[in-house]
Amino acid sequence: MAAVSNDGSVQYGSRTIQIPASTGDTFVADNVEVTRGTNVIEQTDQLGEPSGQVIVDAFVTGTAQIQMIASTDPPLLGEEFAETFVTSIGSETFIVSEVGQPETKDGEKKVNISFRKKYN
Amino acid sequence: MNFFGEIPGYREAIEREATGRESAFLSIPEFICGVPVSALTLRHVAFISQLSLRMPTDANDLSSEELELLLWILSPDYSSRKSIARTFKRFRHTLRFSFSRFRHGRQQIGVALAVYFADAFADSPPSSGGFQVQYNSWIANHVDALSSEYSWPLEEVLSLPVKVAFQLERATAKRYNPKAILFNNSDKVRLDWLRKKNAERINN
Repeated sequence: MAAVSNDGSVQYGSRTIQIPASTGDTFVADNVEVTRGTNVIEQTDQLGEPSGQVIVDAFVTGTAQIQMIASTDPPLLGEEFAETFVTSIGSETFIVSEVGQPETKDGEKKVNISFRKKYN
Repeated sequence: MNFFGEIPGYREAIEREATGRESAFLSIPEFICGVPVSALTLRHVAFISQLSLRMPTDANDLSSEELELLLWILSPDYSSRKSIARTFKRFRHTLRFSFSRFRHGRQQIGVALAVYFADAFADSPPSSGGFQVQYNSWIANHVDALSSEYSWPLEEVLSLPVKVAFQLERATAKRYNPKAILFNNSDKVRLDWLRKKNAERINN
């Protein structure tokens, strides 16, 4: 289904990804959620009332449900993939940080994974 | 290129799937090669299992007797109690089946029945693979899931079309765990695409 409005060509929903990047198997990723949070350093005065704060980027993390052929192994911990989730940010590299218990049915396999952005 | 553009036929597959899922709630009369059948219920499946009847699949070739008996169990006229009315309905069913076999042939009835079963089980739960010790019947699992959720009595759950039962169980599973792993029939289109895509990568 097409978006009613997609301001800024933001990539969303299901997508195909290759793990490891450019050399591995292609997977279909559903329910992709990327979290771009912040860490806040709060400053208070001597009475404990807010007097200032610093808001900095937190680590970018995400989750997805990966579909593959039943004979294909799920992505391994530490494998990397490249994906553009926000056009203005561009392509980012992510590291697979958690792999759940795969479920199979009729020749296909699905597994939940978590991932974290690679910074260096 | 967007996701639908990338995987040919996927949009059409999910549209077909959505229509089929909705129709399960509407009690639309179903026919297999002209023979009327009810929507497959948990009770039907239990009967078929108790009688050790084979389920039709693409791979097997059921005899006329097996097909006739399966269609009788699925018939809206089916009753296990003996009565004059039942004898008449059974005879009428046999005539309908004979006419259908003459017109369509045994194999075509088998294929249509296989499609009927495959459609009914399209939303059935996945497995984690491997042997798992069972402490109760599979029927008890479904009765427990639906009765505890909706407070329905046993008879109502057994008479529920499996297409509806599986969808409700999926909705419940997602409500309790948004990350629950579920499979769609339309996933097969994506799977075919994945096979092709990964084979191309290996060959290049």
